[in-house]
Parts: sequence; structure tokens; C-alpha cells
Amino acid sequence: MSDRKPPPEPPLPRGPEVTRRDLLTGRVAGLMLDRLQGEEPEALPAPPLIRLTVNRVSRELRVPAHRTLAEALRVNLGLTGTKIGCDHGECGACTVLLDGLPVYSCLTLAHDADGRSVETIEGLASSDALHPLQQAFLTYDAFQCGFCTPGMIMALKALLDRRGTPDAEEVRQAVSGNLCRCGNYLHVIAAGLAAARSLGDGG
Amino acid sequence: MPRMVELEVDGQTYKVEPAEAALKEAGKQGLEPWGEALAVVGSAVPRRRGAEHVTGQARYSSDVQLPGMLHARLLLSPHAHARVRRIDASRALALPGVRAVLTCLNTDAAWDEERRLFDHTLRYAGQEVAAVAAADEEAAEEALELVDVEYEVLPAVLDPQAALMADAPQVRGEGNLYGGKPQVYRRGDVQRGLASAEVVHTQVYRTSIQHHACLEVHGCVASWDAAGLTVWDSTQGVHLVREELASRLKVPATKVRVVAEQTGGGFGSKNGIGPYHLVAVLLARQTGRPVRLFMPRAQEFIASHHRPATQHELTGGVMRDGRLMALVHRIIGQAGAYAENAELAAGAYGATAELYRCPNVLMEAWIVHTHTQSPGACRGPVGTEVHLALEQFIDELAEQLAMDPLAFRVRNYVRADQTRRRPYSSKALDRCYEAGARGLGWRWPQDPGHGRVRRGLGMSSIIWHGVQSEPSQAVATLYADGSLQLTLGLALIGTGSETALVQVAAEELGVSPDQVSLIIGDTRGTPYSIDSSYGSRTLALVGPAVRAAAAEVKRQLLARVARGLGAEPEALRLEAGQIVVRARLEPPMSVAEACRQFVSAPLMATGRRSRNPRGYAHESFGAHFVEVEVDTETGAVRVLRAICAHDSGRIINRLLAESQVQGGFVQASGPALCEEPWLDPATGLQLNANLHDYAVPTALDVPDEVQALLIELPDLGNSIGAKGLGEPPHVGAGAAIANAVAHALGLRIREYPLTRARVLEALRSAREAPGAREGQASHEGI
Ligand code: FES
Ligand code: FES
Repeated sequence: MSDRKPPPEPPLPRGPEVTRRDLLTGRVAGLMLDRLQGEEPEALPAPPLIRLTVNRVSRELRVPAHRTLAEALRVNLGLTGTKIGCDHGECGACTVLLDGLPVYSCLTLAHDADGRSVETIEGLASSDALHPLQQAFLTYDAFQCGFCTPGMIMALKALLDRRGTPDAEEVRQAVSGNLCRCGNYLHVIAAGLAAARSLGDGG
Repeated sequence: MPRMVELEVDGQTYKVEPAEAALKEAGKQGLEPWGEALAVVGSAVPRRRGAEHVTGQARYSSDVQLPGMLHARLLLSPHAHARVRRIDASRALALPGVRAVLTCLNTDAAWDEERRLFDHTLRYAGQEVAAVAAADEEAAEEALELVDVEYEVLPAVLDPQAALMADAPQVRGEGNLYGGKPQVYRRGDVQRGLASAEVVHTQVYRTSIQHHACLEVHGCVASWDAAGLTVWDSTQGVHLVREELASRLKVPATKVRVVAEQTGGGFGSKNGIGPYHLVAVLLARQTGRPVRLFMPRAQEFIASHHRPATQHELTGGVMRDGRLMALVHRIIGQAGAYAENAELAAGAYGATAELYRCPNVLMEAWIVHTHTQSPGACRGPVGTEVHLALEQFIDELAEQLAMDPLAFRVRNYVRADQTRRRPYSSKALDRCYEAGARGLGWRWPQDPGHGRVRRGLGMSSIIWHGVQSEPSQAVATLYADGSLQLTLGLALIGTGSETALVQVAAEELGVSPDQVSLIIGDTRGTPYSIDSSYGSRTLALVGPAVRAAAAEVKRQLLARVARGLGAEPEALRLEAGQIVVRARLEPPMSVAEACRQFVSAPLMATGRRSRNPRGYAHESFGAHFVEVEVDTETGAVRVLRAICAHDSGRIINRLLAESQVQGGFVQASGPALCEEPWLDPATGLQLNANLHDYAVPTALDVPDEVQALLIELPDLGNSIGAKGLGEPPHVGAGAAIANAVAHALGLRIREYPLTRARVLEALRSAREAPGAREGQASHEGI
């Protein structure tokens, strides 16, 4: 890569736009200048309050009406284990359990979860042991970059909660809405089956 | 000058340096080649930091949240070629929460010598037009829509063939052929070779764009403070990002810190910096706040690089006995407007020139400018496309001779590199053929059946360039309690190299991998282990440095034990984790025990990779064998089984290597079967820039079995005997699948991916072709 600059281009006719430089050189004064310099507190109204039970703990948070559950978990509660891969319900990275059922939290408004119970990857392990799914994911190397992993595990958790002893096809179907670009699906399926076995054994 | 010896391969004599001598001499590390029985290397040690992943604690750069952090968004060009007539950002700036808007009017920063970060002229759909920073994502998103831009749309050319026409719009004003002429590789005389051949055959193949579609999108968080700049980046290499940022910003490298604790996929797309890095850094400097810029998925598709679409014209000449006499391979690749990675658009090198014994070869790479984004490295760049074409063409040549395609490949096996005239440091492709064919139950001729669902077997060879001599450093620190810390300048991208590197250190020092911890993923305090993890080279590059570091702390430890016991250092040996003193009665002592007794201050060493022995060519090899099923009514192709045999040298961790092979196969099945962007010919915009319509393989698409057969022939090129395994599985899978489909249908489709629509269309035209008889698999190309 070179340090040379690109050749100059003819100037654009200037529109009525406002640039930071304009502001700083005094072309526009007042409130806006303060805001751009980062001094003035954000004059945004406080967003409305919702109550969620997250991983068995009751939480209160202020969330703008249009914020998704995925963003609320990540930004408001700092639970960044829930990943966002597309924000449009295409990849499953954001899968959490809402009242026990798997949902794409990027397609769920935080306010729609008001008063309900949310389970995320952070709530899966007990204080002294990993959940059998988590253990199986380690044993079978069911991930590479790991970005799809929380969503995969939550989707499988929903399956195992619902059906104790699924077969390989059911496991495959359960994660069919979860993309793994690293392509580790076969290890994911093996881990899902192993976890089901170990839960069945009372383990 | 090192001693050179003569080595005879296939009747030719080559001068090479004996590998062990090079190993010992270079760096004076006293390393012996590892024997057969190893304690830690080769075993299925679970992935490092795995517990963080399964509990949601793993911290990716996209998870970083800092106090006062702003959120940035990019405005991208909706046109393939346009001029910005007017930009008005005043409405965006007036929106509550918006802190800054960058456009070509207020930002003069250069991206490279050809263009500014925000240019007046836009040469591909997806080029940066403006950027905003706001208090939250929602405000940033809203502000983008309030930036008014008036574009003057200019004529564009998207297709490389069209771009080569005389009257095509000039992308750069200097002709649309990059460099003004094709790149050429020539060996022998192809005209003579073709003239002497008994059968001459020509075919054309087309491959599609492939997007990396990493599950974690591209992006970073940038923050300035008194110490300088810190960037949390989703990257494959922290050191390369630091180098590039420091040089663009003209600040000392020491003032830039790059952190990547975990990266959610890269596949070649996250090496070094992109315009978005500079945007985030400039916004952070201007606002005095940390700035987070991660692309929305739709932008990720068009603003990041991709594997280019290519066209391949192949002509081959063969003798009736199967001897290959001549190969001509003309590739047309797309360099995009700015040709940021022209060498990845197409190349006159690689498999066609190297994989088979052939006296006469001509390769031409026509690299063409179009009004499109530049291509970038995408897992097995160039090689994946070349294999998709070449390995099918090889099958077609075999068909011309009515020969088993596997036998045809074996007939033209070669043991030395014909392009550089060197022997390979190791090559076990023959063993891959054997093991793969046995594993799948390869048979010839095949019987695809006559029903609605047909079955076919297919195979492909693989060659992928290995690791050349490059410097690499690693630091090992052995503490008094026997724990070892490895400090590595690497990012964790999911390949598992870091786990294998822990095993290398544990093996050398005779400790358990549990005793080894890692400091990694940060430029601060780490040595320059690698610039960035690309080219399947992390393990074979950094592994020897790690081994050297561990060997040096071992030497220091043994010296201390010897002094403590009053023995000669030469009398001490570390075997199977125990320190033994020759001719003395002391009981063997573990490393941990020795540390507790004889180490007070930690022992520390920097290990350096020694160069490769001279005179060899270094390559990874492999062969994929697959069975597919094709539904002739729906056009659906299903891969039933894949047997993936790989010669990647010594395997350090079988479990993780298996994941690499499975993942590579599955990922490569995308461009072979389903992944294809739909480009709007009017604007150059991608119409399916989402993960639903751009169909990457899902759990429903993977075969029931993808078996990795790891043929272990320790390589002579480096002290750990490993070769690369990241890209090879991706390189060969597509051709093996396509060959199997051709054998199932008795006809060949030469445009990829093999979507249902293409399969049905091919079946329909075969039915309508004169003289066609339903159900007759003729094994002739159409
Ligand atoms: S982030 Fe929710 S489905 Fe992709
Ligand atoms: S492990 Fe990387 S996306 Fe699944």
C-alpha cells in the first residue's frame, strides 16, 4: 500500500449541507455545536420500562419501543452471549427461549417479551456444572469460530426439553434454522444426540 | 553454505539440503525430529477456550461495549458507476443523538493512491459514500436515510466478457484488461503437444461469486486516548491490522493496539483493514468518543470482498494409453474497479501447472476490470475455482478415453514439482487416492440407475501451496509451579491452531496441555507470530516457533536441575514427561516437580521459526470422494457421503483437524450447489443480499457422513512436520461433487452452482437434443 494521495478531483457544487467543520468555524451556532462537541447530555426522553425474567432472575429495564429483544439483552443487560448474525431472522445466532420456546430474539421486540421469561446461553450452566449440551459441544468439537454456538445450543435445549430422546433427523431439523458458516453441523448433530443420551441416563 | 545432497525422484536428480541438518543448524535449537510415539501431539485435546463459547462468555469484538460509545453506519453507493452531484447531510446532523456525518465534502482522507475514503466518483455498488455516528444504532440507522445524495448515474460494465469489448465503458480509462495483457505461465510447447496427442478435447466452465458470509459481520470498535488508538477488531490477524492502521494514519505502530479475543469467522475476508476501519477511527478521533462500526448483513455482502466469478476454457491433449501431452487453460477473472487484490481474480499458476505430469502447459489469466467490488481472499482463493474447472476437465478427458477417472489421474501422477523443478518436502497424494477410493467403495464403470433418483460417485484431487520460509516468533514462560504460558501474536478465528500450538509446547516440554495457558489475540505484549492467519499457514508457520521456545525453556530448566544435582547437563534427559539423570540413582522427576525444586524466577524464551530446508517445494495434497443422489424431477442434488483424504503432514489434533475437513467440505458445497448472488444487471446491486436467499448450506444440506481420512506423513519442511489443512478441504470438494453429479446424470453441467433450475434445464435440453433417448446415461458431455 502506498502513501501517495489520489489525484485531486474537481470540487462539488456546495449544497446547503452542514459539516462539522462549518459548525466549528461558526457557520452554524448554538445547540447543535454543543451536541457535536459531546458536552450536552442527550435530550432524549427516558424509554419505557419493561420487566423480564432473564435466566430465572427478574430484571427491569428501560427499552425504546422499537428495540429488539436481542439488542435489549446485549446492550441493556450486557448478556452478549446472544449473538446477532443478521438481525433479520435468517441465521438463528440470536436464538433464545421465550417461555420455553425457541425464538429469534432479533425478530422479537423487547416490549413483546414484557412480563415473560427469557432463557439465554448465560443461564444454562449451574454454578458447578455445565449443562450436558454444553459438555457435549466440547467433547464433540461442535463449533469452530463459536459464533453460532449459543444459538445452536439454545435451539437444541428447546428440543431436548420438549422431546427427551430425539433421533438424528429431529436434531437436524431442530438446528435447521441455525446457520454455521464454519460448517460444523455434523459435530453439532452428534453433540445433540450425545446430550440427549446423557440427559436420558439421568446425567 | 549448508551441505547439499543429491536426491533422485522419478529418474531426475535434484540438489537439496538434508532436512534434519537444516533443522538442527538453523537457529541452533537442538531440535530432533519427533519420533512416532508422542504423548500429546496427535491426541484429541479439546478446543482451547471452548468453555467460554458454550457458556456465552467468549468475547468477540462485536460484543465490546464502552462507556460513551457511539454507533456508526455507512451509506453505500446504490449504483455501479455514478458521480456524487450533491450531498446534503444537514437533516441527518439535526437528528437528536447524531454526533457526526462524514462525506466527501468534509473528509479528505485517502483510502489508497487511487481513491479517497469517500470519493466523488463511485465505481461499484457498495462503495462508501458517507458515514454517520450517533448515540445508538437506531439513531444512526435513521440518520443514514436523512443524508440526501444526488447521483449522476454513469454507464457501467459488470460482465468481464462485455468489458473486453472495444466499445465497453472504460472502468479506469486505460483499457479494462488489468496490466494491459494476460498473465502467462508456459512450459514446453503446447502446439507441438496438442499436435502429437491422439485425442484433443476442449470445454468451458463458469463459476459464480462466493461470499464469505462469516456469521460475525465485519466491523470494529475504535477508541483514542492519551496512549493512542485501540481497535477491537473482528480480524484474522491483529498484527497486520496494526501495521496497516499505523501506516495509513502515519502514527508509530507503538501507538496502535489491536485486540481480537475471538473472531466469528474470516475465511480470508478479515485480513488487514478495509475502509470501514478508517471510518471508525476517524469518527472516533473527531467525536472524542469510542465508535462501534459493524455492518448490517445486507451491507456486509456488498461492502466486503468476495470470491470472483470466473470462466475457464480448457483444452487438453491425451494419448490413448492415458498420457497427458498438453494442457491449455485460459481463465477470465474479475478484478473489480479498483483491483485491490488482482492476484486473487485469477492466476496463471497452481493446479493446472502442477497436479499432473504434463510436458506442455500454457496458462493464461485474463484479469478484467468491471464496475464491481474487488475480489478478496476466500478460503482457497483461485485454487477453488481452478479445481472446480480443471478437476472436471480431467474427468472429461478420462471419459474421452473411456478410462476410469481415478486410473487416469494415477496414470499421470508426478512426484516432483514441475513448475519449480524441485522435489516435494512430502507428497502422499497416492495414499490419499488409495484410502479415499477404498473408503467410498470407488467403482468404475458406474451404474446410476434408471429411476427418478440417480446416484453417482465423483472424485477430485487437491493441491494447495504450503508454507515457505517466513519468520515467526513465540514466547514461552515457565513458572516455578510448573505452569507454562505461551504468548502468541495471533487472533482466534476458529481453526483451532491455538489448541494445536498448546499441544506442540506441551509435547516438547513434557507437560500436560492443561498446564499450558495462552496469551493471544492482542498486539499488546505479544510477539509477531504471524501477520494474519491466511493461506493455511498458521500451524506450520508458528508451530516451529512455539516448539523452539518450549525447547529453550526446557534447556534452561535442565541446566538448573543439573546444577542443583551437581550433574553434567548432558546427563539429563526429558523422557515422557520425566527428567532422568543418566547413571545416577535419583528417581525420575516430573517437570512440575523440577520447577518447584530448582526454579525461583520464571524461565522465559523467545522461539524463532527456522527456515525451511533448501531445495524443496512445499504443498499440501488431498483427494475427495463423494456419492450423490440427484432427483431428476426436482433437480435436487443431495450429497450422501464424502470421504476426504488429506495429506497435510503430521496431524497435531485429530478432532480439530476433522472439524476443519468437515467444515471445509460443507462450506465448499455451497458454491458447487446453492450459493449464488443475484446481481441486478441495471445497477450492479445484489438482490439477495441476505442469508435466506443467498443460500449457504444448512444442517439439512449436509451429508450424513463426511469422513476425514488423515494420511499422516510428517513433512520434512519444518520441525513439527505439519502442513496446512485450512483451505485444502475447500479446494477439492466442489469438483468432486460436480463430477459425481455428471456421473449420476450421464451429462455435465458446466456452470456452477448446480442449482435445481440448472439441473432441470440441462435434463430438459438433453431430452430435446436430437437423438436423445430417455434413461440412457451416455457419459458423454453435452
Ligand atoms: S440474528 Fe436473529 S436470526 Fe440472525
Ligand atoms: S462455529 Fe463458526 S459459525 Fe458455527
